[in-house]
Amino acid sequence: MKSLRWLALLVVPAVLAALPACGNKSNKIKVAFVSNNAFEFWTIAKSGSRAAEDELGDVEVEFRMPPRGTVEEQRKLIEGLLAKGVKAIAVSPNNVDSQIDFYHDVNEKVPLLMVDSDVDEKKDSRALEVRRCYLGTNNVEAGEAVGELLKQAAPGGGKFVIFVGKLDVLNAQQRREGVCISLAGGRDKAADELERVVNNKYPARFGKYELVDTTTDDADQATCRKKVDQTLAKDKKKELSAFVGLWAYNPPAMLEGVKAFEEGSRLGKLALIGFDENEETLQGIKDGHVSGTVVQNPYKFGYDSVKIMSALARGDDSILKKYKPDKNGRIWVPHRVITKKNVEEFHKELKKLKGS
Amino acid sequence: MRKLAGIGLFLLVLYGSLLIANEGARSAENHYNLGRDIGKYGLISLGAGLLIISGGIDLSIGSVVGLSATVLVILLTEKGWSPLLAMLATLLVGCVIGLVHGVLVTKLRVQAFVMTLCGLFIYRGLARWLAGDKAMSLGRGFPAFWRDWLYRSRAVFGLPMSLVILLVIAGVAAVFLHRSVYGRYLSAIGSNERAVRYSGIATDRYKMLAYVLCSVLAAFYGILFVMETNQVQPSSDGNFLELYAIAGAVLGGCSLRGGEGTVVGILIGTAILQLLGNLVLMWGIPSALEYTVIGGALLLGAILDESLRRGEGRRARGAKEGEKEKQEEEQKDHKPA
Repeated sequence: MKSLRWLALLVVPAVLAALPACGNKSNKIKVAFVSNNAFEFWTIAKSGSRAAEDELGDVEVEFRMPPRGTVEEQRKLIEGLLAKGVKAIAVSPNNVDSQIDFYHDVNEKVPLLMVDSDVDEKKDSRALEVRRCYLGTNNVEAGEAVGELLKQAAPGGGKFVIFVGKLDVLNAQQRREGVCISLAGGRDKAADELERVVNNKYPARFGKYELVDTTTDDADQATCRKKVDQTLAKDKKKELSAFVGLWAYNPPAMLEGVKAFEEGSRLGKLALIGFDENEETLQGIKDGHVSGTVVQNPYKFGYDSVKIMSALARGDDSILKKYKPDKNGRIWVPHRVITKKNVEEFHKELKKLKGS
Repeated sequence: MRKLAGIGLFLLVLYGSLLIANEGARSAENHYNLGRDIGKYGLISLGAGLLIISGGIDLSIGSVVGLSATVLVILLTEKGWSPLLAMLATLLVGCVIGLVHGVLVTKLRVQAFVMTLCGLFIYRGLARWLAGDKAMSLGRGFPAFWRDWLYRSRAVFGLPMSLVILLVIAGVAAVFLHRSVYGRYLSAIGSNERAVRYSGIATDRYKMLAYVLCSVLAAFYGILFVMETNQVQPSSDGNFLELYAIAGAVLGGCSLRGGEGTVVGILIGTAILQLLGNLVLMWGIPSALEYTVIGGALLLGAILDESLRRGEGRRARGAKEGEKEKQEEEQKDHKPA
């Protein structure tokens, strides 16, 4: 026992001393990518950033995925990365409206990019100046694509429920907005009812469609699954005609729930429309259980942001022009609609990107 | 003090490996960040520690942080209260929550674990309901004075204000716990509540005090949190903080069986936890491995600490047993063959 004790005394410092040696001590320029959670979506972005890293050769990317993804955690990470000496940062910010001052200070120190989730200039006129550019999906348009899928899947109209992780995240709000605009047939026609939805008043009518509820789950798939079960059980008259899932893990939870409910009796009758490219969602499309999904291009988020960061870190601002940002500094990475027609092809491509 | 040798050594080893990680890790900026986090997390670890020493437990700390931060933001924005008044009201919320915990645990004999676990759900839900399930922001109109004072100020020897606040509160707590008779009661209750009650001491009162302190410190963390982040996300802010608080306290030598623990130990435990998080970043350990590295290092630290203590105990016992054996042998010698 005594020897064991001394062993412990020796092993701890030895392990700890050895760890820093694993770090790459090169003269490459360090840039960092901070995501807003640790879902698979960002793993694809990570492989994009690695590809750019390999291609450029003189850049080292620190890719951090904060497990809880709170503002506090993101701030702590970014402050730590700045202390560590990174020369540019790309971030997918949470609750960005409240962090304008913070990001302003960050952008003063190193070039700052926002990815996937952007500032809202309507809420703060100075907001656009706190980052060099934005790179991401146009979430309202992507939401409209979801709406189109819903129209195709349930052409007769009917009641539907939206499932999403949290409503205090801008992309959730914008995607829902897009869905409603598309169903109502235009922004003006959707405006009044959308106002009700934003204030949590249900049901709301958009054309032939009635939004019964937006169900949140705190970004937890198991919670979403439970809520799907509850929604199905509550729908005694079987009036619901569609479920829409706006965050990556929502469609799988919807699919599992519908499969399990009354031995799958609602499968095929209840249209399921998804977002993002979860494996189960894609399998569901192949099986004909999911009507379709709208996917973003996270690989390009990672790839392009590293390329832009490495140029900005060297003081080469001309790079931004190449990506043709709009007047508000937004570089749109187009979304794609995946249905039974193109799912096989897309799935193959995706496997390659994820490296499996 | 010998008891602290193990974790003290562990802290030094960790700090040493931070210093050799890279230039950024050694920078003043990184030290300031670390100090600020230790200051913040130390507050809740101190609260959790005092409660654990008295034989209690609080699993609702994270939700209390979330709720108090939400209340503070609502009072400041929607209700337009003055900052000082709003902060006092927030502390009062913590006080009331702690009192409810204390009363239910001592008078209704609800198990502390159950009581505070229910609290974890109740306060989280309450925070979300109060905020309408939306993130709330202080906006830019909030007077900078308080934020500067509580969050950004380096007025005291250039130290982060949260660390200064922690050191002051820890100082008071140390005197209370280790030098006053009331503190003695508190840890005695943790070791053997019945014995203390039979000696005519109103144990319930001290237990309630521990719950109140724990929740008030959590509410105080909520205030610092809002000053720092300028916002609150009622659905997630503060999640899991109770685990950090309890881990800091237990790592610092507070026994979950109660009755044991020191203020200095809690501070060291907190520092180790924060240092580990910082090390993960400075060493560039992949995000996916972060928790594993932290958990593994904590386990190693706990083993190191335990084996050092045990070694000490055995040496002490060994000396006594040696004497005993000698005496027995002498007695044997005296016995006729």
